[in-house]
Amino acid sequence: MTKRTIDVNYLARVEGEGSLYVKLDGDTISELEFGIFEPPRFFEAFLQGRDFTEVPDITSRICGICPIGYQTSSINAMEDVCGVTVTPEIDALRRLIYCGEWIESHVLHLFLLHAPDFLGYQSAIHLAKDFPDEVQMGLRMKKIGNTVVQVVGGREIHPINMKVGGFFRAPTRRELRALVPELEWGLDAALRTVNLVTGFTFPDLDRNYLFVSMRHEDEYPMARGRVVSSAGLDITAHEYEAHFSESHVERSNALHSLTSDGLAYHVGPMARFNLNTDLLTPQAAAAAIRANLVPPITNPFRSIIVRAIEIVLAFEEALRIIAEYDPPEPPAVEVPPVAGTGFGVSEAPRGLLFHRYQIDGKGIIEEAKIVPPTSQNQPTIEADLHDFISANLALSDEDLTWQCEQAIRNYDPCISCATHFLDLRLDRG
Amino acid sequence: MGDRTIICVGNSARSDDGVGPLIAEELRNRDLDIPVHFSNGEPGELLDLWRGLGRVVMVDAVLTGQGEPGTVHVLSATDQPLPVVSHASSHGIGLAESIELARSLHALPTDIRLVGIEAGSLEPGTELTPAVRDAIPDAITRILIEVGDA
Repeated sequence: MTKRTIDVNYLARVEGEGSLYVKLDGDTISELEFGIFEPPRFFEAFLQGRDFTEVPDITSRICGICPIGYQTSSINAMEDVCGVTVTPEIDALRRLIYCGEWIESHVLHLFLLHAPDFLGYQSAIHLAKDFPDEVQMGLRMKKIGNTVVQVVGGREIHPINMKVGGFFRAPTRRELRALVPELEWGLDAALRTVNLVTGFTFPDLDRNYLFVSMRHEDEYPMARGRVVSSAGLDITAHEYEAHFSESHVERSNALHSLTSDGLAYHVGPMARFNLNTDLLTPQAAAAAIRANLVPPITNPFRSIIVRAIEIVLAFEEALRIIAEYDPPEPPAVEVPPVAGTGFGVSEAPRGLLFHRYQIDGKGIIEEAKIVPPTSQNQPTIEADLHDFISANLALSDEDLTWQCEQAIRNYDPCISCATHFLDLRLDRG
Repeated sequence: MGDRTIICVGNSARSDDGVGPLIAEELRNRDLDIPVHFSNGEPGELLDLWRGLGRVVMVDAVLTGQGEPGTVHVLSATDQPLPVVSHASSHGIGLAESIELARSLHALPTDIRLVGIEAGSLEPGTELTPAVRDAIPDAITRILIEVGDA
């Protein structure tokens, strides 16, 4: 091989890019902008003119790490407009595949992206040298999540088995029972993970958040439910846009979500936990008590513990669903298209994911609207950073930069799942 | 050929980043004796694919700023990291980081190479730029040389 030197600025794995710009005048923050690229915007246009049954497949390509969230919210919206309700067996299978996605996504973020911050490592690569067993444990847990998605969804990435109305094919009892030994190991590993992250040191930052998540009377929210808030809101997906709206922000291409009163709000694991603590599964609830997690959790750095608790919950739920599994027969209900507008929400790993579709009588999509969790959290992330920087101006640029990135990673923004660099500039004017 | 593998990485929704999946499709149509995988580059998946392998040729779109779009770059990552400009404070896990993670865990194939195709555009879109599309035959020739099948 010829030896040459080439600087690879970045290898193309670019579903999202993130940047943070902060300008300080003395001790005053004069500008602060956290920017993300949002692939769903491209898909909204791409969906127009497509058949409503194609939507789960197309939207699953928006994000390689949370395809189930995109599929579920879009399916919920299509079943909503067509006036169809699925069977409890289909609901259970949807919850199972969603558990797989939470495991994959949370484990990846916790072990490979966020834990290095708390342990003082530059990256998972450095962490793995000193903590190979922990990183291997994380990789094995993540693989279990992948396997659940693969067995239920047909494929790991861009699963193809989910459809409007249910599934193309229901997995057999035997296929699901084969997952049990690894899921049992995973549950134990998840409990150890809670212990591990509970011992971390958390920077001081407590904020008065408006939390927004789904809520379902029977279960910790994933694939179905209403939308609730810490201010007492309790609405269906139909009413979402009357209470939350997106607006363009000057100097940025991104859309920012705010409440109709102009307030920033917080979606994701902390919001789910704080609004659904009473619905935790038994071992997750016990682990939360051991970790001294008393709601409301208002320090965003402690979200890593909440994520660990949700990993426990996802393993427990997966085991329960498999133990009770009754294959849906048929695997999907018929969904004839009905002209109108459908609304769907689900709890993607990063938080509430809203979809709205307008279809005609033949099922052709006339308009699509997707509001991903990261764009909903964007104003909250900026507000966190504002408070955090104001309180920590004595830190060196290097330390401040590091901790700002850690603060951004509290939200597991989709920038971290797909891209390699955060282009960060600090300007002390 | 049992321990040799070609792994193409990419995202078909980001213009020239779709070159990896397209090459994977093309290679699969050739009925090679060598396994051809497609991956979205997720580190756990890559580590699984790499387990126990001898020679791996990774295929991906790259931005080096050196060479026109469609230029085919070949690099070895067996003994040293890919020369990614380090953004030390980021924890994003891309292909280069996955390789280093595997190196840290002593789980890297004995020989790992990258055939990188210089991208022209990584904007949202499903079409390749013409220069990158035209480079696919050259890239495939290089991939087969590197994997030892030509």
